[in-house]
Amino acid sequence: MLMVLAALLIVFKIVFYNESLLVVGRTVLGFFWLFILPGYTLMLFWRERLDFLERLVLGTAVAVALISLTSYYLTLGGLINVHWQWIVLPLVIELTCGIILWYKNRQA
Amino acid sequence: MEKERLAEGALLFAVFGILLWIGLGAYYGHQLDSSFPKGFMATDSFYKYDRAVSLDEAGNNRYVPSYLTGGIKGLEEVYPFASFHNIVLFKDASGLELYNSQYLLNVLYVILAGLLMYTLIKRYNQKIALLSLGIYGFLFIGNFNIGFLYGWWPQIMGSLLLVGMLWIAVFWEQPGFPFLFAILAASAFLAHPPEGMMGGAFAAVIILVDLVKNKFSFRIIKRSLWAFLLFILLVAYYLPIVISDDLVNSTGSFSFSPKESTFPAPMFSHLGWYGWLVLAGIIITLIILINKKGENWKFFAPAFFMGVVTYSALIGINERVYQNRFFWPIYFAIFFGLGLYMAIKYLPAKITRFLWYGIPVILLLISLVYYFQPPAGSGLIANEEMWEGIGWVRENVPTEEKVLIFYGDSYNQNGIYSAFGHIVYYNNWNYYLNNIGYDLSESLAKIQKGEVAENYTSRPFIHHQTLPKRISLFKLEYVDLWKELGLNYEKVDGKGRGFEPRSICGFDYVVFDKKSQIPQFAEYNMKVWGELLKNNFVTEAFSNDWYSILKNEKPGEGCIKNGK
Repeated sequence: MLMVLAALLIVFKIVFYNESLLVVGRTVLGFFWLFILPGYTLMLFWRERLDFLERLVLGTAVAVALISLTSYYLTLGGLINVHWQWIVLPLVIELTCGIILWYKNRQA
Repeated sequence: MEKERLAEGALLFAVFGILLWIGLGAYYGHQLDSSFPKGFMATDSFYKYDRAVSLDEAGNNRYVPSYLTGGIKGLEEVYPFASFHNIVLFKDASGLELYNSQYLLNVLYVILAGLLMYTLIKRYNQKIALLSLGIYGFLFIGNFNIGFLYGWWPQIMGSLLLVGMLWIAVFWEQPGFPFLFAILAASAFLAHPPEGMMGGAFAAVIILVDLVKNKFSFRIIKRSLWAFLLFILLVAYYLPIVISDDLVNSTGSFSFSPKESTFPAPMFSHLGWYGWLVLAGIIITLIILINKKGENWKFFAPAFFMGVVTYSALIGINERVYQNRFFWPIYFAIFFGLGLYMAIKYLPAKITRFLWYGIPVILLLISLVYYFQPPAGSGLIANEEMWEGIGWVRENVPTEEKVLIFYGDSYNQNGIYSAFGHIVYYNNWNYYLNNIGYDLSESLAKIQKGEVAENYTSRPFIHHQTLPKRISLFKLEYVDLWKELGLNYEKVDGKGRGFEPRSICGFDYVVFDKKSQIPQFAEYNMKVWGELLKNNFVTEAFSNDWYSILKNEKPGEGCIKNGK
């Protein structure tokens, strides 16, 4: 995953060569943190059926769906301020998936 | 094997880079954070953007901002909202301006959808998958790019999720996939309902065929029902709005007569000579499917299904399906790859393994050189100064104070008034120029005579006609905004839609554009501006090269000498 992050940084910096490294770095990290990482973590449940690329790409699409859905209902219910959700939601998804996977692996 | 994986990775990042370059880099001057919104070329661009703004500012999505409803509060948003959440969250995560977050995120959605289709085709045949990448340049070329300029962000996100749903449905028998399908379908439905419904219809076809093949297996029925129930649960809150007449009426019509597109829709000919390879691929696919008795039909099913859907307007299903043609290069990628694969396979020269990785890049570059042009101009927000003036009104004018906007070139797409973040009134000369029948001849006569008057025919900017109030969790009551505000929406005797003669002296602020492509209008604006400034209770509150905004300290007092 670190290779993916590094490659994204390089591609973004080449395409947006007039932009500062700071803005490019934060943008790539933002996308990686918000969609790629939680999606990939969730797709680890299917690691025997999907290859790395499938987990990466399908996972990101599923994260796009999951983040928007949870944000929609959390905001509707006034549960978490929308401006904190970019930190909280990926973290909760990653921790929840991580704990379940760890527990499943231990049992196996 | 390792070498091939590296080559594939390098190719995919190269394709990603090329698509990012033509999707945003070239238009944005290879920057990420533009100082004003680019590409806002239609009224929808502003309406959609305003929903993200209102979520960002209010921190919730419960009610429509009162500046869009003539001041009425507590009315429910009818437009599906999920896509705007991601835009706001990505803005917070990336630190980009909201409008830049919106544009970039949607470019990434399109590229992601392309990569997703690549992984699906790869399961059928890797060489065809590699070649199929060569058509993706068209995603950002000509009419295929219209969704970005018309601000159809929810539709773009819905389309990404639709590709995800097609992917999952093809492998419906995999454990846990119906659960993923329900999440994708619910989010698509809450972003842009048609894509959710299309994905559902495709899954239904796959499930039905599986059921027939598996003698109505209880396992398939159970899994499908679970997915459906989870979907219903996830969209339950929004469902009453979708099934209400108002939204259905606003999303096109169903009648069995051919429908024309209401926007410059992509046509098959727009694929240029790449389209011939797609056609060849369709014919070859049919031959293969017939010869092999339908083996691997599921890999081709998404392309055939979306082909039928995107042409269904011709038999009158719904004109909105023209929007789904934006993703043709993705849906038809398998046909393109197969057509090209067959053409290459019978070449006398030997194709080395690594040439398969080079061909899609060459094809992408050819499409870029021959067909690609970045969108012309920055859009209806002409420059940073115009955006600064709009922002000044949004941030500095108290909510209860009335603002009148005089003539400006960009206001022919009236969604732009939502950007002011206030109940603004406007003298929209374009209604007369476009000759749609509202009687504003009086106002135009004033310009022609160069006469500065006190009364102008103006109207308040109200986005909706009716909006719901939620009485209980699943019960809505619709409010007619225009009736509630005592305004006349219907056109009667050549007047209506709230157009009435109103005194220019009754407003707290008057906004003047200093520049116009029609110099007479700009001159006239400045003439009225000069007359107002003759009063000692009128001062210039904001000024730059684009705007002058006047503040009237005594609204209601006479401000135009000898005015009518």
